[in-house]
Amino acid sequence: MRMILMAMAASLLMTSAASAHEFKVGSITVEHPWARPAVTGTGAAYFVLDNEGTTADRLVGVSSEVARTAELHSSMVDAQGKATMRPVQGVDLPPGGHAQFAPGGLHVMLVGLHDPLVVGKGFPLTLKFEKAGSVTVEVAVEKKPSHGAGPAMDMEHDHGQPTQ
Amino acid sequence: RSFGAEILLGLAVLAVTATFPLSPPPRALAATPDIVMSDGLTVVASGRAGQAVLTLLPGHHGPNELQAWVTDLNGAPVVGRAATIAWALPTAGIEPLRASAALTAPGSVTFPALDLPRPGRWQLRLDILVDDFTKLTFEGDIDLP
Repeated sequence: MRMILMAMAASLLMTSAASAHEFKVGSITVEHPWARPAVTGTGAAYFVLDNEGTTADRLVGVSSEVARTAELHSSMVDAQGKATMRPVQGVDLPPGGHAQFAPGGLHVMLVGLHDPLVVGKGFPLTLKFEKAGSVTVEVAVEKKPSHGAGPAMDMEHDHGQPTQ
Repeated sequence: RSFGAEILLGLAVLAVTATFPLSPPPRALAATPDIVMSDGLTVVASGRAGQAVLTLLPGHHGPNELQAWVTDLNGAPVVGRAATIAWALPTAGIEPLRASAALTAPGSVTFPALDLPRPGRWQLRLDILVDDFTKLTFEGDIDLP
């Protein structure tokens, strides 16, 4: 009985922390930014964007002090099984628009990590919107997201890094 | 021991184990498929029902092919019958031009011949006809050199 209550208390704490992990700039909400652990080289960050306003906006850039560069990318696997990655010029968010950054799809590629990404140690990521301006979010490093799904495939691990 | 002390002990164990660093096992790295970095110019048009990744190839003014990859709110490719693309450059007085195509696979549609004759911020609008009663719309701008 006591073990059950302990587990319930712990899960309640984690749930409340996840629901509070969002950031706003203007009418744009950035929900639960997270990244997987990465030992060296390249990492990827994910989140959900919602435009709750009446004016269209556009994500035009990202930056972070944890890596040499941060870039917007899109991954996909075509019907023939070929994996493709594309740099993204911008993410348009019309009123009511909802953009999902998740493994296997849209992501922020962090190239040239200065330090490993470690579970429990977050890092700042700045998102720049054309109209709303910039917002710096705290990215949580997790094995897997504490909520939300997204594409099951993940091609961002060690992208561009030599195998060892 | 008190009940409160046991709760604190459990939370402390959770907190400590959450800090353990992780790295992918070698077999996971070996299984990663070869990734091709694609050419062209790509924007993402989000909507209420999902998002569309729109790529223009070669990605500068002139004749282009447009490749679209459309997913729903769960990240799954959208199954549809047909698609229509409209493209316009209002600053140059170019009214929307339109083309239609069938989806070659779930989520995937290609328009082989779009003429975007001038550089500028072109407006793109993609309509996916899911069935006789359902149409999904995605709109986005692309800065074309």
